[in-house]
Amino acid sequence: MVNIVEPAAGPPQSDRTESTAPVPALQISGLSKSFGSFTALRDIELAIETGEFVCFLGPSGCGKTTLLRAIAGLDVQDYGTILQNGRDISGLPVHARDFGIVFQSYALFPNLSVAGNVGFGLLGSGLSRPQRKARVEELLAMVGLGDHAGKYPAQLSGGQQQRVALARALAPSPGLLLLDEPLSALDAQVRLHLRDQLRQLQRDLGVTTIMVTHDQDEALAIADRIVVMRQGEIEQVGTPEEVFTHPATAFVAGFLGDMNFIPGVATDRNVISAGTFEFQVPDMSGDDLAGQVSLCIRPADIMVGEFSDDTPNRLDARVQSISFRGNYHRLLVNCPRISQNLEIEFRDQGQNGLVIAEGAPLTIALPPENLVVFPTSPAFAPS
Amino acid sequence: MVNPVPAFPAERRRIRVSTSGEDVLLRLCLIALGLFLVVGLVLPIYTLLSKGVQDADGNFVGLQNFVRYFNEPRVSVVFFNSLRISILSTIITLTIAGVYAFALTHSRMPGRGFFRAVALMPLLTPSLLPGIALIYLFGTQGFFREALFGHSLYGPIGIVMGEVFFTFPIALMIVLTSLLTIDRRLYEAATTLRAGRVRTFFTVTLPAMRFGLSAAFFAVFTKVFTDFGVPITVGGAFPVLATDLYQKVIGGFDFQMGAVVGILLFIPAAIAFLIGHLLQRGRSAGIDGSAVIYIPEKSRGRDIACFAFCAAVALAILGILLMAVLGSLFKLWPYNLGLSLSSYNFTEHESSGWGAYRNSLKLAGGTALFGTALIFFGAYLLERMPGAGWMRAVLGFLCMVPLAMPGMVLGLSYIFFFNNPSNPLGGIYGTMTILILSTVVHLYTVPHLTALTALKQLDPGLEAVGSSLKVSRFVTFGRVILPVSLPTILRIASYLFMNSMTTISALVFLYSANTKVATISVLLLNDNAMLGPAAAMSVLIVATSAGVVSLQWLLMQGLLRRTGAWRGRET
Ligand SMILES: Nc1ncnc2c1ncn2[C@@H]1O[C@H](COP(=O)(O)OP(=O)(O)O)[C@@H](O)[C@H]1O
Ligand SMILES: [Mg+2]
Repeated sequence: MVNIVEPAAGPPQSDRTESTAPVPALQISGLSKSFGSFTALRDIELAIETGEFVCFLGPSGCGKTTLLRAIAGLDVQDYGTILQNGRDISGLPVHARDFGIVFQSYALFPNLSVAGNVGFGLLGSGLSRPQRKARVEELLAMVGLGDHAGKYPAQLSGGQQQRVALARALAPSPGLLLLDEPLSALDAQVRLHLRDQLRQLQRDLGVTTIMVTHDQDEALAIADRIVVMRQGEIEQVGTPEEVFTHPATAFVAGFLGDMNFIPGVATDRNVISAGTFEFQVPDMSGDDLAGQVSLCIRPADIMVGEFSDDTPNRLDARVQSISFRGNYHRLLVNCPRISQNLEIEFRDQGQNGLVIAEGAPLTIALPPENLVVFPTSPAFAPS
Repeated sequence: MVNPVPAFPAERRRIRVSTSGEDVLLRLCLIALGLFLVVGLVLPIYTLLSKGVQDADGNFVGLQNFVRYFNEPRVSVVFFNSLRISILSTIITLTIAGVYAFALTHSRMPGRGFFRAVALMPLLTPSLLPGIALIYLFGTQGFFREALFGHSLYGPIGIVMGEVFFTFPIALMIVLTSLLTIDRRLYEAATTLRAGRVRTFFTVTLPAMRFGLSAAFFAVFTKVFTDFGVPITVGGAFPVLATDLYQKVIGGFDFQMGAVVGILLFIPAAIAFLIGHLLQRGRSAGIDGSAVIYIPEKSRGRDIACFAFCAAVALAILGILLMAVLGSLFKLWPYNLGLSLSSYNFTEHESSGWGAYRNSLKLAGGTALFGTALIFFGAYLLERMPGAGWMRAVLGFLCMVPLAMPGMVLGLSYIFFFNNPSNPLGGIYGTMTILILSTVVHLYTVPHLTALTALKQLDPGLEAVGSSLKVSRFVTFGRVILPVSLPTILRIASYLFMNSMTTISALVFLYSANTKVATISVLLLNDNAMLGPAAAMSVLIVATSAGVVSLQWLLMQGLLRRTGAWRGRET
């Protein structure tokens, strides 16, 4: 096959040519929205590639749903543009956009059967009746509900209802799938199962997907990229590994998984003093970290046991409390030199002769490569 | 790499949503609803209010009409008559309804379902019926006239008795609701705290009833204060505002004074409405579906006392209804008490014959059809349409106003507005159309609230999902919202039909020779001392209402059975 590349006169018209950068499935720029005097979204910039699975993650009330509804055209933004495959959809009404949506409540049509729900969006599609029927059967088989076509939503379990809603949203083969906390109304067991199914389905179909969630485990497990939001703004965008291991802000660090925060002062380009202790940290030159900082480390990254004398960041500690968590023990230890308690995920891997008991003394080490330093933000008080 | 800088930065443009044909259509529907409310409610009220401050030639005279009215020596008497009657009837009704509601919910007496059904029967009757039945029972020739110890029925005694009968079910329903929302767990807590029966009653039951009782107070007061049917039949020479208004307008053609009385009638009703509304607002948050219904313990003494009380009340209600039926069957009361159907031969008693009854059916049918469609779709627009916020708020308020409008005031304002040569809509004056219009407006609020409640319970995402599937809102409305709401629609239609059959207040000013309805016919027959035919027509109205309610019940059962698979359970 030969591609004829047109001379570059004006913006690229098509994403099929190999020489131009692909147009993102969704490009949001400068998007803001207020409800009265309350700013729900502020200057959102975001690009989503075709076929990506993106999660909007953040605490409740941070504007995830609002952003999703702006993309859908249900609550149109005040300012800013949204391009879908290069087409400006900023002010288009809902039905002129190309997406399927699943709400947290599913919003199934109670008076229509499962097949009626799934086929609802095919009525005006120009398909013949047998074609529609075939398409509905195909979708139901895909979500594993082939035997339930004649049932009504009220006769299904929560997980089945969720899958009906998903099949209904996918029926017209939309270019974009929007999911607003689709799993949060389900039991923990079903949720885990459907989460994997959803991921697999999305991979198979290759449909660009945005899912809103406030559950960081869910986001970490399912997303290609996570958009961490806070108070109407994007804090960080990155792969699950990036946002987990290299959080851009103290907020992201604290929100994605457990985190110990140690207040301190940067005294050198790789030293932070806290209490009467000096922590070795990765080189911070270039960062603007004058004055008060927070030193962060995940409970799983703190080492416990005997260490050689040249191990950096060794601290004496005393066990305050122990709780068993299945695969590991959760220790709360007190460190007199930094006058602070730290949480530790302790996995017993036969460290020789180690006695873990309440009140027992311990030596712990905080590996410098696992320490992250943030300027202390007054707006975010680590818990 | 994707360049994060927007393609066209520079100035920040506020995003405008491009309107689709569907949006335009929805707006037009909303505007149509607004026009209906303006023509049917706002402009007539405005005309009435302005007539109150004009002289006969339309010149502005300030409050002079009111001054003239209150300088008539008789006037303050009429106003205070109304006030006294209303307060007395309200207190008696509330006492009876309070005890009755307590007996229904807090005892295990037998026949609770029966007592409940009997208590609601007055809802099927026009307010003229208790008056007529009372004449048979306690009138000058009444069977039990001695029971009044020489006092005359015609006057305060008769009015209060009739009003208590007429407003009892209204009070009962409100108080019952408030009692049913008491959480059983409150009683359990009281028991574990070793509170005695009496203390439990005063700390749990009474506070819960207090809200219901105060809400019922305002509802009943307004109803009595503005009622026309009872005082016109048994008021005798005891004038109240409603009958005074009727005499001024129909007897004296004094429209200026009529407007003044109408405004006076409206003010206490409006105040009661506002207070009731505020009460409701502060309260509705406390009522949720999670309360566990209280099941009383066995107590023989209490159950016997409750049964005796309810039996007495039920007997009185049935007695009045039965008296009306009997009265319609007497050959020539009080001289010949043989039974015959001659009173039902309306062609002999009235020139219009059965025409009045047929007109009532037309009115009720028209109101039910047109009113249900309008009110339900209107509520849909107000509740579930996106955008147009301020307009929806204004219309939502207007939909509440009819609750505060006494029917007679509405009827009077229609005369002023439509019977004006310069009004292009004047053509509907004297036709069935104006009767239907006034009745729909008069009855608007209650079914509107019913529809709103039902629509609020539907998932807010239904239309959004429809739009995302490129299905028009109107299709989603027809294929989902409408079928799901059918029970509500049925309830609204039956409410409108039944109340159009029994209403009279707005119609006394608006009917013409060709559009005389059954309740008007009762009024005129009674005026002409044809008590038997008046009773017969009343009974016919009650029978029709009862038939419609039964039909609604049957349809509802069938509907719920057919749609049970997807509906789950519903009452
Ligand atoms: N229609 C609305 N009117 C006023 N405030 C709203 C509206 N919708 C959302 N908000 C506010 O905007 C903020 C973000 O809401 P939302 O996007 O729903 O949060 P979440 O991240 O939990 O999905 C919340 O503080 C919420 O109260
Ligand atoms: Mg949300």
